[in-house]
This record gives sequence, structure tokens and C-alpha cells, in this order.
Amino acid sequence: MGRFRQLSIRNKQMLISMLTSGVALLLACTGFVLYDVLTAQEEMRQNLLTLAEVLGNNSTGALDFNVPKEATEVLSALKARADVTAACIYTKDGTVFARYAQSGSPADSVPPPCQPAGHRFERDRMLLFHPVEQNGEVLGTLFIQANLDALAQRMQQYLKIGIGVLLAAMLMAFLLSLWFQRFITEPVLHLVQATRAVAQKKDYAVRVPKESVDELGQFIDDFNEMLAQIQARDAALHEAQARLEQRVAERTQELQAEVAERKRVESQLLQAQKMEAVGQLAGGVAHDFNNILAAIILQLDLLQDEPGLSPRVREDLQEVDKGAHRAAELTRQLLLFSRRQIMQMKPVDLNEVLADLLKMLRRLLGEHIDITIHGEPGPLWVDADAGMMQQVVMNLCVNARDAMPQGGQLTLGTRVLDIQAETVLANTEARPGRFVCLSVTDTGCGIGTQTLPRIFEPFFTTKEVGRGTGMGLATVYGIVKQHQGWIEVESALNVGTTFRVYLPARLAAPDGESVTALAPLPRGRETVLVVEDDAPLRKLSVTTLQRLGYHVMEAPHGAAALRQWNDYGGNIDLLLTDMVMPEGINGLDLAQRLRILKPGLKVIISTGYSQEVARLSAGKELDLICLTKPYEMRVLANAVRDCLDRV
Amino acid sequence: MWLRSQARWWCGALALAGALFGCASAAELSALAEHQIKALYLFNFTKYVEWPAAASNAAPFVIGVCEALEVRNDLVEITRDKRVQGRAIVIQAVRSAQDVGACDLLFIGATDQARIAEFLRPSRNAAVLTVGSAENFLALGGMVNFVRREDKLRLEIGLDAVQRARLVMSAKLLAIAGTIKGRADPMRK
Repeated sequence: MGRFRQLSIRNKQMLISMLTSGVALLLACTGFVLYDVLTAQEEMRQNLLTLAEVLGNNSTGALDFNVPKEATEVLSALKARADVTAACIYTKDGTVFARYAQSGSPADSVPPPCQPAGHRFERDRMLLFHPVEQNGEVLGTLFIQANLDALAQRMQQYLKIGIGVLLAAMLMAFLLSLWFQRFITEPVLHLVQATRAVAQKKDYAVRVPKESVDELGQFIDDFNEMLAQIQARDAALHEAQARLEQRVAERTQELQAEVAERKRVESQLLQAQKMEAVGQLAGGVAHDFNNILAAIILQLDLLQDEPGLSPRVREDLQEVDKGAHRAAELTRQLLLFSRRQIMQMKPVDLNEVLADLLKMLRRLLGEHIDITIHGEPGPLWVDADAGMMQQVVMNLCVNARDAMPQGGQLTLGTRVLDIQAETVLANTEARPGRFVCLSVTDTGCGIGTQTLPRIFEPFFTTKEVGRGTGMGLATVYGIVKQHQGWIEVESALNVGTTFRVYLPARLAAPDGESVTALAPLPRGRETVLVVEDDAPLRKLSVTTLQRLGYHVMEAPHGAAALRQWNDYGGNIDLLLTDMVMPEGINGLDLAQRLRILKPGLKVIISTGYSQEVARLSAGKELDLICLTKPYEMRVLANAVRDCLDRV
Repeated sequence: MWLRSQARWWCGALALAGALFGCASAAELSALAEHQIKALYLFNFTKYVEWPAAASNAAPFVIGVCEALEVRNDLVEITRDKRVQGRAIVIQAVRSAQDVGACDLLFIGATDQARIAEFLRPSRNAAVLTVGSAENFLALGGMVNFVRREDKLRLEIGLDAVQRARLVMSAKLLAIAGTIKGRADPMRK
């Protein structure tokens, strides 16, 4: 049974049909053979019975007249019968009357004792006892013994035919089941193939061909339907997966872009922070340095005014003065970079700035550089310090010249543009709004990507030692930043560089021209209290004011100033004080305290920090004037006069 | 089994009947006296010989016995309650030639030739089966003759006489006859 389970369905089906037909045929054959055997036996019995009847009839005379010889003669007719092996006639009382034995049969064929009429079959023979009668009178008994050779032969033939038929039937069953397999086994095999394809190749597109409308056909229909559903689900799954992957890819791209953007912004921020830090350092140094320079310059001024100096000393003093001014210029540039320079803000037309500079630029840049100006027509108003603007243009042009040692094309351009929010995203320094853009383009050697981030650093230069200070672009940077603007640089090696300076546009044109004309230094006789912790500077300021005719008192810090005030009472007209001072009282505190004692007191606060200036300016109600260090005599004189003349 | 027991039963029944009716079978013959055998054979002849159709079945079948008292007595005994071709059997003693005409079968027990001839003469043209027990019986015109040979009783048949009497004798009777005289029988080689 186990082996039968292992067979393929094809072989099973074949085996079943062959077994069924074989068994059925075997049963039929057996029945037929049994019937035939019985029939044959009956036939044989009838045959022998007839024979016995004839023989008996022929033997009546012999029995009646006691002639065994005749009876023997009669029996000898049995020679013609091959199947009859022995025969015998008994008298009425059972004694043997005549006998016959087939030649070749065993000689010891002693007739069996007489038995009543009837027949029986033994293993290989049939025995028949039949009465011999005449006219109803029993004369004796006839015995016939026949072999079953004919029957056996017939059986053999039947066996042969049976086996032949059986084999033929099996063959027929085999062929028929081969033929009929297509109706049952083949659909099943198709199903098996399909399920295998599905299971192994994940191929849900296969379909099982439907060949019938029976239960198998129904099953195949359902199976195909199931496959279709799985296929649809699979496709949906694939689609969803593809969509998900696409979304992931998109998101990844976005993230990468975001990360890149963030990195860029971070580097920009880092750059800005670096510039800030450098600026603070430079500013700090420059501030203190400036005070020293201011003292030197004022002292030199005083010295040169001294009568009776020999011409040689005067000449030397002039050289010292030049050097001091160069140092002051450097300091001023440092302060510009660190945005601590005091700006004289007023409406400036950038086109006018360029036009004014053009002549000087041609001289400055040399003949081998061709200058073109693409200015947007009309005045381009910005709130700016005109001098600083000039310096920005000059510095950029000098930088361009140095990039084009063999000569080239320098293009200056101006235009107004509205910065959109998108643009702001690309540049951390940019702000949305209306801006005036000043562009300086050269056809020079360009700036390498390594160099580009550092060009605005102070004292960074690619020029040989002695040619540049390294402060040019740093100054530009500081000025532009101080003007709430920014710079963009676009450069390609051996092609050229473009600087674009963006400055907030002034939304309305100014009412009229504010022209400041040079005038002799204003003088006065009022009383001025000078408070300055830096003794040389204080001394210089005091001396300068005294020369201009003012009555001057001095104090090194706030507390001393208060004492002076008490000594002189309300006779002080103007307070000139440093902002940052020791002893806990700064310039502003001092001014406020004194104003309590004398409301309407004129105040000038001097400072080196532009931020403080801005803070102080914001407090308009304080009604004071800010003076940026280092200042010249004229500036100081003008500031004192302006302040005293204020109503 | 049933068949065999049935057969056995029948066999026993027949043997009993045979004993009752005194019908001796061939096997018993040896134990019988010669006159008994003769009487038995005489009756047996009626089975193997066909007589021309009788005028009426009502007429008895007459067996005449001439000069053989024992045989006649035996015959009476044997044929009691028996019939020949449906006819009752009458055993008649034949003493003269005139009695012969009424007989269907006649046994002439005489051995004297003249006397045999005397009894044979009236039967010559009649359908009478004549049986004798003498040496020249057939030559004298008889039909069946008993002869003793090898201590057995044998038959001689004179076929010409039988045919002349328009009697039809069964081949079986002819087959067992020791001697047949007269025309050659085509059935025998």
C-alpha cells in the first residue's frame, strides 16, 4: 500500500483501471469456466449415459442368454472411444459378466464392485453405473469409466484463451486509460505543473487550461481565479513597493539636497563667524592703537605749530606725520573691516560715485586696462557714506587691476533689483527687498576655490610681500556689512571674476543737496568739561579746545568730573566725555547725572565703537552728539560748536 | 449421493422382484437345471422375435410344449403374470400335430426325428417359432435348437425357416447364437 501511495497519479490511475478490468475479467472468466466445466461434465455424463444405454441395450441378449463373450464383444466396441478407459457389465446379482479395458491402460484394472446406478467424478476420471434394462426389467448393471482428458484439454485451452483474453484486456485497459488519462490525469498534471511554477518561480501569470466542465474543470476555474487574484495582489504589492521606493528615493534626494544646503549654509555661517571673530580682534587692536595714534597726531600738530623750529626738524616732523597718517589709515581700514568706523550716512547716488571716480580710476589702473561702465540710467540712491563707497569701488578696481597684470577689460555696472525670498535661501547674507547692485567684472586670472573663502580676511593676500596690505577686500567687506549689504563673488580661473555688491536701495530720492563746505575752524568762549581716562588724549583735547578760545576743565574719570562740577557749579556749558571709563561711571551715566543738576546741558560723547554710537544715536531724547575716535581737530571743533549752537 | 443411494435402492428392489418372480438372470443359470434354463430361454425368445400382427390383442400368446413336462411346468411358473407384446401367455401342452396351429411358439422336446418332423410339418407355413433340442432339428426344418457345448447351453438358429415363417428375429438373438444356418446374415462377418 505504501508503494502504491508513492506512485504518480498517472500510474495509479492506470494501475487501478488495469486492476479493475483484470479482476472483472478474471471473475467473468472464472464464472464462465465454472459454467463450462459443469456443462462439460453434464455433457460428458449425458454422453456416457447414452453410451451406457446403447451398450446395455446391445448387451441384453448376452445377459438373457448368458453369453459373456457376446457381451465382451459388445463392450469391445468401446475401442473407438479414446476417453473410455474401462467398462464392465455386472449381472443382476453384481458379479462381473463382461469387462473391457482400454489397451495401454493399467492392466490391473479390476472392475470396482457393482454400485447402484449413478455417476461420480474422481480426480482424473468419471465413473458411471447404469442399469441394463429390457422392457422395464433390469438385467444387470453397466459400468463405464472415462478419463477426463478431454475436459482437462478443454480446461487447458480455456486457460490459454483466458490468459490471452486477460492480457489483451489489460493491454486494452492500458491503452484506454492512456487515452482517457487526458480527461482526468492531464488536468491534474497541468495543475501540478502550474502549482510548481507558482511555488518555485513565483510566476502567478500561469493559467491551467480548462478541458472539461466537470468537478476538475470547476476546480481549475477556481484555481485560475485564485491565481488571478494573487497576481493582482502581487502586482499591487509591486506597484506599492515601487511607489515606496520612488518616494524613498525622492525623499533621500531631498534630504541630500537639504544636507548639502545645510552644509553650505553652515560653512557660510562659519565663514561669517570667522569674519566676525577676526573683525573683533582687529577692531580691538585697532581701537587701542587708534588712541595712541590720535595722541601722536595731535601732538605732532601741536609741535608743528610751535614757532622757532629749525627747517630740518620741521621736515622730520612732516615725515613722522606722514607715517602716523599711514598708520592711522591702516587702523581706519581695520576699523572699517570690523565695522567700527563712524559713517557719515547720507543719500548717495552710486552712478554719480562711479562717474566722479572714473577719471581717477583711469589714471590709477593704467592704460592697459579698458574700463567700461554699464550703469542703470538715473540716480541710484542709497543711504551710505560717500567716502566709504568710493573706497569700496577703488579697492575692487585695484583688486581687478592686480588680477590683470597683462591688461584686460574692467566692467563696472549698476542696477536696481528686487531680491526675492528664494534668492535669500541661497545666500545667508542676502535679505529680501529692493537693492542696488554694484558689479565689478574683470577678465583676470580668477580666484581658486581654495582661495575664495579667505579673500575677505584681513591681511590675506596672494600678492608678493610689499605690494598689498591684504586689507583691500577686507575693508570692502566691512564697509558693505556696515551698510547692511552683502557681497557675492563669482570667479572662474583664467576667465575672470565678478564682485557684486548689494546695498539697500533708498526708497525715495533726497529733498535737496546737503553740501558741506570747508570753513575756518569755529571758535568759542564757553566752558567745556573734558572727561577722558586716556591722559595724552585728554591733554590733546584740552589743548586743542583752549586754542580755539574755550575755557576748559578736565577730569580723568566720572567721579573726578562730579567733583569738578561741584567746584564750578552751573558754569559748565558742555560736557565732552569718553564713553568707556574706569571708576564705574561711564560717559552716558555721567551725562545723565549732570543733566539732573543742570537740565539742558550740552553733551558730546566720544567713542571708538560704532555699535555704541548706534546705540547712543538711537536714544534721540538724550539730545547728544557722538564723536568717533580718532578725530581730527576740525571734527572736534565742528562738533563742539554744533553742539553748543543747538537750541 | 442421492443418486447413488437412489440407485442402490432401485437395485435392491429389482433383485428382490427378480427373486420373487423367479426370473433367473444369466448368472444364476449355472445353478439351474437344464430344463429350467430351457424354459427361461423359451420365454426370453419372445423378447427377441416379432410375430406378424395378431388378429386381436385379446387373443393369448400361446406357447406350446411338446413332450417336455418339466419345461412346461417351469414355463408356467416363469410366465405367470407375464405378457408378450401385451398379450397374456398361455402354456399349452401339444400332443398332436393338430395342436400346433394354435401355437405362437412351439417347443418340441422330442428327440425322435420322425416325431419332430411330424410336429414341424403343420408349422411350416404358419408363424410359429419352433424350438427344439435335437441334433437334426434345424435340418428337419426347425428354427431354433438348443445344443450343449462346453458344458453350456448354446443356440442354433435356422434362419431360412424363420424367414419362411415371416418371423423377424432380433439381431441380438442372432448375435448370441452359436450357429446360424441358412442364408448368410449381412450383420455378421
